[in-house]
Amino acid sequence: MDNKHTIVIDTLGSDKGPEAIIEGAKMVLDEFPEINLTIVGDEELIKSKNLPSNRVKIIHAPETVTNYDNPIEAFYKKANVSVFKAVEECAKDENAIGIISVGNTGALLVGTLRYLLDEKRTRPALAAILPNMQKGFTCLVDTGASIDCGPSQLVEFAHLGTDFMKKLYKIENPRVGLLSNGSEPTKGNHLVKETHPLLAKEEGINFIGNVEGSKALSGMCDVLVAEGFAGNQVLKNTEGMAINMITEIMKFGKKTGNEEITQQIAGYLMKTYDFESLGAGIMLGARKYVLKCRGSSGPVAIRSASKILINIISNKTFYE
Amino acid sequence: MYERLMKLIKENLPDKDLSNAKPESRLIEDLGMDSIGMMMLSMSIEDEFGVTFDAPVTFKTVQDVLDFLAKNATK
Repeated sequence: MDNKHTIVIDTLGSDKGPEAIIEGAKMVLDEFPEINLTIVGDEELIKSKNLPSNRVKIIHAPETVTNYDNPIEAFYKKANVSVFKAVEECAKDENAIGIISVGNTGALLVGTLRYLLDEKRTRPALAAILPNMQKGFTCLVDTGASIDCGPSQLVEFAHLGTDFMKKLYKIENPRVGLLSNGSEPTKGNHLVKETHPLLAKEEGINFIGNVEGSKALSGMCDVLVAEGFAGNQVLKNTEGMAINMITEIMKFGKKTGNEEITQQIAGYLMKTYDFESLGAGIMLGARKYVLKCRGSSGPVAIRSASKILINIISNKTFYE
Repeated sequence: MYERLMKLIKENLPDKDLSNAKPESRLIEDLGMDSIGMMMLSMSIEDEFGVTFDAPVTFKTVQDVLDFLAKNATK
């Protein structure tokens, strides 16, 4: 193996099985000759796919963290968990630019805490980069790494999101919104009401005020800050609504004999909002890039997530 | 040692008023620590006091941590 940039891929945890993730790794090798891979999981299975040994390092770690496991206990009690081994390898390998995992989000967070915390010991946040109505992208942070938060944590999220959008989208002064149930400063739960004045006076944050859920992806802000519980609801509701709308459009086309045009519309919407194409969420606050694909991800999501990492090191924007 | 430990706890709970915290205060129920916060606290304790945890921390109170450190701290 030479000193090319390396991406670490955790193959375990996908609803579609490790084969789908290894297939995604193969797509990456075919499309991006400038990249090497470290593939973590069941060594025998990975070897059986005959990937080029001069570009692929295999790490045997066949154990997983299930949704019924406590990720912190699993970290100490299970010796060969793929996601932990993958994060550890990413931390140790100087050539590794980041890790892609489809596995348990809590386990990925624990691994990141243990091996990839930044110097400031920032508590990581899981951000989703979502297409907005102004042909740009909005960084929604947090989407589930910290379900309950305090006000100072939300301020920290605002900084993480701001830094990310400056670096990745070349936005000079990213606009930061605070997710609330009304745009007025008096609206919101205790957390939002306590956070609002802190964000308003925080240096380095271009705070535009509260943003309602219906405006989350309007493009009025570049960074939308929320506690993990609320942010996750926005993310899942957005995806659910997009799927419902596309399904209804397809039904309408079938019913009225306009299938050709509705298929084109549905295809465009699927391409814009499909999480397989969008690739992954990103763990902000880590020393290297930690990308989390959805549990139902297949090969395309792995390819898309790898493209994100390659864009980052090529100094391009996230989805360029 | 108590002050050094409380400084670490405060770093992990920046929004909490810990002025009334006592050695018998419970980390989760009284001080509001969550599971990720406990993990980050354990990592801070490892660095600050030169100890190593090879299992999830199960401290209930501040005093439990102090008792552990009295036996195991190397710095």
